[in-house]
Amino acid sequence: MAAAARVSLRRRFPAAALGGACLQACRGAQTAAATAPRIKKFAIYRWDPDKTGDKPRMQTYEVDLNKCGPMVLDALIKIKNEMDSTLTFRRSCREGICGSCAMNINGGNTLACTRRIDTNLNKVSKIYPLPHMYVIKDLVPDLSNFYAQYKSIEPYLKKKDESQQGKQQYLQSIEDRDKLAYRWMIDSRDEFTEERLAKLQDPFSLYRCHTIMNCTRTCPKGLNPGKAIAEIKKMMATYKEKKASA
Amino acid sequence: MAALLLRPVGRYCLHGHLSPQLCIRKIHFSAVPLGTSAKEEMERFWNKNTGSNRPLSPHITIYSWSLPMAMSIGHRGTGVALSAGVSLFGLSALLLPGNFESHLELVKSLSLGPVLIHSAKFALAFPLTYHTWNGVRHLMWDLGKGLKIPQLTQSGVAVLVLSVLSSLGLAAM
Repeated sequence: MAAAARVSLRRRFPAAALGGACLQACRGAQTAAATAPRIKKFAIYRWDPDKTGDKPRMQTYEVDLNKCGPMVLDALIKIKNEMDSTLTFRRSCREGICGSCAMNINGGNTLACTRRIDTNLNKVSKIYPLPHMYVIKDLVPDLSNFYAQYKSIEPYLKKKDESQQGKQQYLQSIEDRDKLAYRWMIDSRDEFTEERLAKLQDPFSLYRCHTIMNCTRTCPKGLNPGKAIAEIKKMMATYKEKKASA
Repeated sequence: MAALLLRPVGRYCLHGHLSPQLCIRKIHFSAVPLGTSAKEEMERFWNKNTGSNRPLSPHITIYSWSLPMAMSIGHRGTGVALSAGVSLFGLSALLLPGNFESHLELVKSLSLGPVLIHSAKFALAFPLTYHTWNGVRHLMWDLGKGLKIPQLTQSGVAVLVLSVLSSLGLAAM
């Protein structure tokens, strides 16, 4: 449409100055077409502990995607800055490595900073906190139990003889590095494998896993915790034999 | 076995003869335990949260469904159904009057249409075949095989196809 106008003007007025003017008009028309706002709706879980009698509810916000970054975290920050400063969520690195912005977006658990906003304007983006966790406020869950569970697996290398510590780098083979998922069990530098396995010998720690595999499907870093747990179960089955034969 | 989590205790050593400007710190590990153990932290978590008015974030109502997830709950459902069915069969054999032949004659005397009989046979056979084939899939997982996401979908579809085919086969007998 703008191009056609340009051609017709050129035929009638061949002066270069007019050509420049109509180029500006074309540009104006193009930018005018681009600024038609693309409004996306976000339905976000809200709950305020300081408001007595408040019940969890969904609040809908409208964001113009033309004025917003591509990721869900960009939308959340925009909402907090411009529309509702009481919206509460965790965030830090904004590049998918720290894990602070983990939440449930459109039914799947991911990081808000690496999940692109679905540009289909007919759909509402649903944002919930991580499922089945106690909610501190809005999208912030209580993660202290999770951290305690991580502490309980003793996530550091343990050697039987600590006297050599600091003298030389503990090197690792390439094969070992490949198995980084269940890293504390199969790390050849760690000498407490038997004890680590023994600690899992109860009906709860390891055996509540029923191979549903939602964990691997949802991992935002492409890891496979389901496979790692299956490998640990295999190790549990064989280590007693090792002990018996020793 | 509560491993003592050791805390590095910083000790400052000044070696005067080397260089007065250099301050060489030596870190020694001594038995200074960390503030809380994992168990204590978990207890505190539960006490704090169960005593508060904090809501639990929604889970089943909001999580998006997938084939492996649905098949997993199907495996549990068919397992329960099969156990209940076998138990009922055993109990009725013990308690109900008559024998198997008399019950079979009763069903035949109802003169139900062949379509109804076939679909009833299919409905009885399907939980058994589904649970069996998915059981094989589970055993492969226990060996550590087939745990990548595309493999999960492939094996899932294969189980469903096999279950339908074997149920049809059993129902036709």
